[in-house]
Amino acid sequence: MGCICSKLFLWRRPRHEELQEEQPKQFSWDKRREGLRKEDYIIKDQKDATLGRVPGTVNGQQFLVQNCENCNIYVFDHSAAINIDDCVNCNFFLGPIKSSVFIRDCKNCKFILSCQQFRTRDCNKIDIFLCCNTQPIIEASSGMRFGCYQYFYPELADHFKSAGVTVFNNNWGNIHDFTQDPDEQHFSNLPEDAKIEDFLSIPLAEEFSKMNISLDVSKSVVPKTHGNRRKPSDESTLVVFFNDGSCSARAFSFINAMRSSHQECTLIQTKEVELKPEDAQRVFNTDSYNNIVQQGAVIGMEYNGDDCVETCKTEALNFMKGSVGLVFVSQSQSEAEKQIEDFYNFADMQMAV
Amino acid sequence: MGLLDLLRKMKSGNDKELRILLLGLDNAGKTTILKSLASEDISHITPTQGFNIKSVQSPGFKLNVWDIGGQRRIRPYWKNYFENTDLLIYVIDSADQKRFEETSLELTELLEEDKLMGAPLLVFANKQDLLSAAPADEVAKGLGLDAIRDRKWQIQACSALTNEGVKEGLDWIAKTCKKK
Amino acid sequence: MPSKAEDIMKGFKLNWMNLRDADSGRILWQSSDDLSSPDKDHEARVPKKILKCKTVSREINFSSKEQMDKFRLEQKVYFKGKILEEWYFEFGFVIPDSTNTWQSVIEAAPESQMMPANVLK
Repeated sequence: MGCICSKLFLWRRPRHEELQEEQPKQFSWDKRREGLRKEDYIIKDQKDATLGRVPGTVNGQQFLVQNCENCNIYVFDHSAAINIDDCVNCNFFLGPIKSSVFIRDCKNCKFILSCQQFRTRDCNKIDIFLCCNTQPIIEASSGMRFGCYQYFYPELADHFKSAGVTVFNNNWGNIHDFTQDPDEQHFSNLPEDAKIEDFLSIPLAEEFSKMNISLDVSKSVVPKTHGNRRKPSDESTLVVFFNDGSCSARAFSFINAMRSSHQECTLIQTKEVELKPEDAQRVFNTDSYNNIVQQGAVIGMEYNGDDCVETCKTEALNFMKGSVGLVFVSQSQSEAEKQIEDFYNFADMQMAV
Repeated sequence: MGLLDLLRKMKSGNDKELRILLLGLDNAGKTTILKSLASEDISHITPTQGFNIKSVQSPGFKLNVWDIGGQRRIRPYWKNYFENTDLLIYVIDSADQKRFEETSLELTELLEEDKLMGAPLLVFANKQDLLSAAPADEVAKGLGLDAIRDRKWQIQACSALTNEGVKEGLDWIAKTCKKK
Repeated sequence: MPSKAEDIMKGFKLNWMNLRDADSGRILWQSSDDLSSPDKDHEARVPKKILKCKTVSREINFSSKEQMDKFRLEQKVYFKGKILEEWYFEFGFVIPDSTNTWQSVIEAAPESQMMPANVLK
């Protein structure tokens, strides 16, 4: 920009007009496209094939899949956005997507995917194992079945980070249907015992042989949650891990410990959220956590099951032994109810602003 | 809340107030543009299930921007918001070739609306950061913007995500509405 | 048979409300208490740092099951029993089954017009 122009001059004249007269402004996207070939970021017109992309080959760019039939498609990388159009009888694994995935005019397909926004239009009979940071929406789609995302390969956690998708803020069960019909429910939950391997097999093709994929629930990068299904018990409790730099790893070992020793307790939902001291005061009804919440986002989990309050108290105590990390656990059933409501109301609002 | 209102009364308005309608297909990036106009965090934006209204202060103007959801099902409701519109912003997902025709048809219908007659049109060719994005001049050609004779219009390439081009659009709004 | 107004009330929910520093977009205060229950008083503790902001914006988020043709929000500010300030905002139309946000800017009055903080105690 010419430095001769006085501020007043710039003020009066809209900048782009001036720039048109001089030289065109350089935007970052002019540079980003250099050296990239569009055709490397699209799969189209395929039939009866297994294909995809290995880590490092999409690297945060947009990806497109169009007009495929009877295919298994694996995108083992993070991306900016993905559109899936006009596919029939296809199965997909899509690595973490920074903004939206938009599935249109697809039929009889299965997906395992994680994203910021999930959208469909004009789809029929789609099964999705989903991790979505905002409320998933469907329009003019029917026979949609949803389940909780489960997947592991060594680079996956980093792909989530690169895409800015949070593994604890999963709204897979909270669908909004733009075309509600009082006579027909367009979406439902997948059976609770649905196994990922029955929907999308681990690829055997040579190019994916080094992926080290695991479908073991205890290795999954996203914790398996119960979602909006009917809760097994009337008793719920809140467990919160405060940020100490490793609270995510500690939350996962807690979840795994609960799964292996206390199967009667079910993980209903998780949320990772930043609290200000005044928010902490309101949720926990004490000022004891006002300082620690300033260290960063906390991870809150709702467990449900008979005696889950006592079980989580005991398990959390075991966890705090020999550790400096702080954990909050509801002390009684009556307190837990309000704490869960306050925590999740707050978290939902935080995600919606 | 009362406390705040006591302390902060609305400044007696020398600024011109503009009612701006922000429309476009679903997934075009309307809410991201709205939030980036207001310098807000755009890292988690939920698909809009109704409207988002924001008042944005820019030099000499107070912009009341109405962002209405773009799903096919709720597009018929757009007409309820046309009244008193000073300017129309139409957002295109430049990387969504499949729906260029659909978005072009919706825009054509909007431009035929009596209540939007003469309102200046700013088209954001959004998502320029995406690899398959069509450049703004191609989008303009596809939309047939050159044929518009009855109003002022401008197309602006932008990426709401990287916050580029949005400011340039805002500058055009200021210029256009000052002359009005 | 329930009236239309009753249906509208039943399907209406004020989800949350917040205050931001309008210059930086940073949230200063927020609440997710259901503020639409009409017979309850709602207390808002707003942090003092809000007084340092040049412009503050207020944002509300609400959901409606029913369509509304002329939706209007009113607020009256009482101080020691007298109405000090009244404002309203006309949304007009509200889409059925919608969730909506409305944010408006509240600008700082010149200092001379401001009520000193100690008056409010």
